[in-house]
Amino acid sequence: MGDTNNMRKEYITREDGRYLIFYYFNSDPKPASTEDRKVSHSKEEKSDV
Amino acid sequence: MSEMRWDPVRQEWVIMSKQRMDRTFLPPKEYCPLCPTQNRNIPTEIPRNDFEIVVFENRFPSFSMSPASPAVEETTIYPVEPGVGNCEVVVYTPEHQGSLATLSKEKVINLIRVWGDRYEQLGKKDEIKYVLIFENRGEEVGVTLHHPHGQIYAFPYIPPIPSQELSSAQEYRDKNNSCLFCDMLKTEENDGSRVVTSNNSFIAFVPFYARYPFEVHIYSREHKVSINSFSNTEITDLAHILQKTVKAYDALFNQTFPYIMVIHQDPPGSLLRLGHLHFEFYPPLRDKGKLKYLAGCEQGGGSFINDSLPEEKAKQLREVLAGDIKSGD
Repeated sequence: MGDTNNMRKEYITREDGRYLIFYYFNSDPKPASTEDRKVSHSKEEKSDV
Repeated sequence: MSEMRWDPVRQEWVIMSKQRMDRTFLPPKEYCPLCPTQNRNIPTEIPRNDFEIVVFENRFPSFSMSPASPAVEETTIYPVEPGVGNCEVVVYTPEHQGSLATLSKEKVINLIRVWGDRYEQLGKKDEIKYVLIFENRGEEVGVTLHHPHGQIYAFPYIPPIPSQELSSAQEYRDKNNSCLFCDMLKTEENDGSRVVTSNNSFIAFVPFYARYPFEVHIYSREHKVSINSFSNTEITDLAHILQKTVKAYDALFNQTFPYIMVIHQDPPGSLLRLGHLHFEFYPPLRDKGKLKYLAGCEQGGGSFINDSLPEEKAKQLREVLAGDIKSGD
């Protein structure tokens, strides 16, 4: 898939169980914000995703 | 709920997903669910704004990894299965405005990498047999949200059109010991009359058998089976030709051109290497302000009628590229 060295992902799960995956290429994810407190964070995708 | 009911007449699955009836329908910009949340009182699907591209599970999915039991019992003649799978939304940018044509080339390159990542991750699941990446653009094709985005459906079966493509490729290989798609590309390149644009890695052309007047397919020159098969150079070339194609569309009638764009490739994990990655664009406009409807012959007979000649439409698109796009591309 070409060079993915600069691709970073942050995986989070909502209260309703649905996941989001934020992709970053030119910057690092910011620390969890107040808006993110309702979701849990994980660096890796869960196996069931 | 998400269930699959077998049509024994056409021999294909039909997905029942009644919650989709309630999905958000053309909200005003300030209530766009795909914009990052700006006002806590109006939470959107995306709780932060520092991302470049985001993927999330569709709130109104056609498939789910843990669907409720089907609403009906199956019978011998009517098999029913739970709709096991995934439906994802890919938001291209935090910005509400934009499109594949107007995003930076770097952004489109990154989007291609995200498509590759999702193809790989979703394809690892035992339940998933096909990953269909697509974009619907314009209210003419049923778009309900205008924020630049696409979708990914991870199917528990290979859907009929890719399945037929793969069967045709197998049959052709058995008969000719070569790739159907590679041989089509040679024909298109030798003929040239239907080619819209090309670069070192990809060719965009109006198919010989186009169903829509401005239908365009983009094929990789090399036999690459999936979105993950490309080198950095090929990804850059793909981003370039995708943007050039959409820019040509937008310049055609000086409007944001509606289309359905799908990616066809190998089923994940397939060892047959039958697929040959390509993009297919199905634009519903047959002329400025005129829609091609799928009516009696198409819907009832299954046969498309194209009100044009592919060679003429390819020429029209080439002329648009030559005359109206002066970006040096």
